[in-house]
Amino acid sequence: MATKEETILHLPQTHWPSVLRHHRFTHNLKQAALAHDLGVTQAMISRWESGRATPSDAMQARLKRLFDAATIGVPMPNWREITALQPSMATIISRAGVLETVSQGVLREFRMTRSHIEGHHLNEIFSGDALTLHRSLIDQGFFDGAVEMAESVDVMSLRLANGMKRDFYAHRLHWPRRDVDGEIRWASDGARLRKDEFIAIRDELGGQLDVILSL
Amino acid sequence: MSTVVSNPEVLTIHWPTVIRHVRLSRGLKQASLAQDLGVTQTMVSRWEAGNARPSARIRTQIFDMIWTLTSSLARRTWMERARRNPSSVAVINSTGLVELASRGLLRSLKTVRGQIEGRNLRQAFRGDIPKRFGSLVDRGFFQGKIATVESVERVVFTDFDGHDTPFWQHSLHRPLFVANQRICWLISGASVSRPVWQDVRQRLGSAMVVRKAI
Repeated sequence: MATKEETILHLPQTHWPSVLRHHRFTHNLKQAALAHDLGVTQAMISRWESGRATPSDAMQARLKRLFDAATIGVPMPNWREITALQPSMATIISRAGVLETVSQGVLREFRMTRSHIEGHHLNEIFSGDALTLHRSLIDQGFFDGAVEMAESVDVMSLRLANGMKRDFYAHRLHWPRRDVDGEIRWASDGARLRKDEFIAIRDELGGQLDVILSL
Repeated sequence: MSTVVSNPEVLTIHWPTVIRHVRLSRGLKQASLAQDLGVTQTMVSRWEAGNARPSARIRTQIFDMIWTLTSSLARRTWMERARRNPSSVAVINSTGLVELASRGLLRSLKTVRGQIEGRNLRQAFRGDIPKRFGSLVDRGFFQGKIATVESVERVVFTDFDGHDTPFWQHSLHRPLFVANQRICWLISGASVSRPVWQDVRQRLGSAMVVRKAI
């Protein structure tokens, strides 16, 4: 489908006027729309397409990334891949308490890299509510299929390298998800809260955790 | 800005792409998919070539197959849970109608469910959201031609009184294969600060990165 475009991109000397026009026409984009996507003016796109100007090296790299991304087909992501991509705070945790998969939102809120979290136990990353929650869920039979869903408002206490901790508030939804190995995982998704929102929702739930048991 | 909703083709499911996409996503050969669906390999080949259109029974089976690739819940249960999600989730259909808004989204919009569910996004939003809808339509999102899209938006929500709530969002967009063979637009995201929004935009290299279906 996109072979023509890919061929053009692999030529040593890219003819930018044709590449840009081809991309715009195959994606039904107006000059202004492409300009918006790239953060340049429409006049600049017009100049590139007429050959009166050539995109800078940095812009050429961005254009190639943009065009590649739009032309390479990918499979449907599975639930784990979707979790990793989420901009919100999503996690997949095992019964043993290992953080198996975390989302982009987690990395952002925790200010940590993926390798600092994934594969590590909850008690290496957290203190406080997150650990209490894991124990409560185990006690309620979460990993044995007894829980349908749970909602929590937590103080997320991150353990920092210097022995300090950093706290923030979160509102999260939790549910069991059976993985391909047959074992139940603890999946959750959530968002950061302001203190007033945290207090309001704690009041509403009547505590940290509200559990809905399976029928 | 382009909005091609007048062209019905961009809203009709493109079965050759959808069937090939689910087959390759599951790593199956045509013969294996044919066996799963109880048809001949020739039939799968004809569907993927666009020489035949699958029957209603097969179309439903394919939608169910795609649904179970990403969710272990029945569709109705999934919807109920999505409504309760503390993060930002919306389901919008191919006409632009907002079918579902999560609790987290209502919080970001500073509104209540009745102000957003059942409304058309063209009335409920200004700025990047109607624009994003237009470009997804143009790229065949509602035909099943897109796997995922990652983007950043400046969302401007307008309530019934014409009061605007603007915020910055980082979003993931996926097709949702709902019942009756409809593809809906599933947006999940997080509202972020302006500097974070700019960082993500920088990393993406543009406001929107599209991953096409195989």
